[in-house]
Amino acid sequence: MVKRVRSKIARGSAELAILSLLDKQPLYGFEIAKRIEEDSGGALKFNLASLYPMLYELEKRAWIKGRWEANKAGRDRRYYCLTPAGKKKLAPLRHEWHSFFRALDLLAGVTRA
Amino acid sequence: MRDWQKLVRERLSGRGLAVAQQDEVVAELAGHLEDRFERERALGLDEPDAIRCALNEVDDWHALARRIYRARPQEDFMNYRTKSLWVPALVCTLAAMGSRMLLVIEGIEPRVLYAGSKAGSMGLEIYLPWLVMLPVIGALAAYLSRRADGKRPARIVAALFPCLIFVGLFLLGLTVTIFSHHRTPAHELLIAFGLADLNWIVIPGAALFLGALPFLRPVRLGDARLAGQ
Repeated sequence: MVKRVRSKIARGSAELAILSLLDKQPLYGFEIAKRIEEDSGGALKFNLASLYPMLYELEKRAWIKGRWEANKAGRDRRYYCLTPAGKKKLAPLRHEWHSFFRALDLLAGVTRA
Repeated sequence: MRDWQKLVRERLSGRGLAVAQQDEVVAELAGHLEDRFERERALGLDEPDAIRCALNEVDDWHALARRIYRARPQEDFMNYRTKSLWVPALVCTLAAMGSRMLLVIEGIEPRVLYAGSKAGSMGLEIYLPWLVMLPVIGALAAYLSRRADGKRPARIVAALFPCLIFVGLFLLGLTVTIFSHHRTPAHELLIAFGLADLNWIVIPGAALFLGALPFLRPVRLGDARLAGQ
């Protein structure tokens, strides 16, 4: 049970992290993983095995869309950008997580720890 | 240089993903491993250690293939090559051949620049009305391929597909002619096939490629973002 909750939290946070990043600019998989690691100060890490199934899942839901383009080095990479459906989903997701952390803070004093 | 695509393909093969499903995923995952490898090299790791780091991105390829299989939209996946290559190529071939047939039916003749060395032999023709149409057809094929998320090689092949068919036909024709026309001098055969190549492959190919060019350039990231919105 605890494992399932943890897994759901991890999955939900990953979705939010990816959608938030792609809201700023289109990125390809490796850049997404790199940016998540850098921007979270190393607290969140994605490897290939955890990132791509998530990206494909989000693409299947039509929240993001992939397109092959050349990167700065001239190599073809699949850039992902947010779709209108993904943009719509992002605001409620942020709200849900905000509520979740506020509730957790009230219960456990997370921000004061 | 390490062939990351081969490595990923080997590790994903026989793991539940259909062959048609693999192409795009293999290209994408191989690109990720390549980027990781190069980052580690840039950080100062030697090649074997950088490779090890890249391969550590995946613990269990079987589980990864299963998760990807579940996550990918199956219909799109199955039709990726068809949509990005075969359909645009077919549209391009039908449009190119159809437009030429229509012009012939309308009685518009090509302009003969060089009539050939003797009566009935192949000459050099310029079919200007057709050549004007071909860039539009090449552009259409490249656009259709790009819209279906086709990579640049697929866009080029789709736009040049009518010419590629003629390359195959002419090679076959040349082989048959060499063996069946023993008495025809070799240089005459070569001139005839050279002119045929110009008429049906080189000049139309250049026109098709010209039309496809705007759809081959890398799209600026801003454009990609707009396209997705």
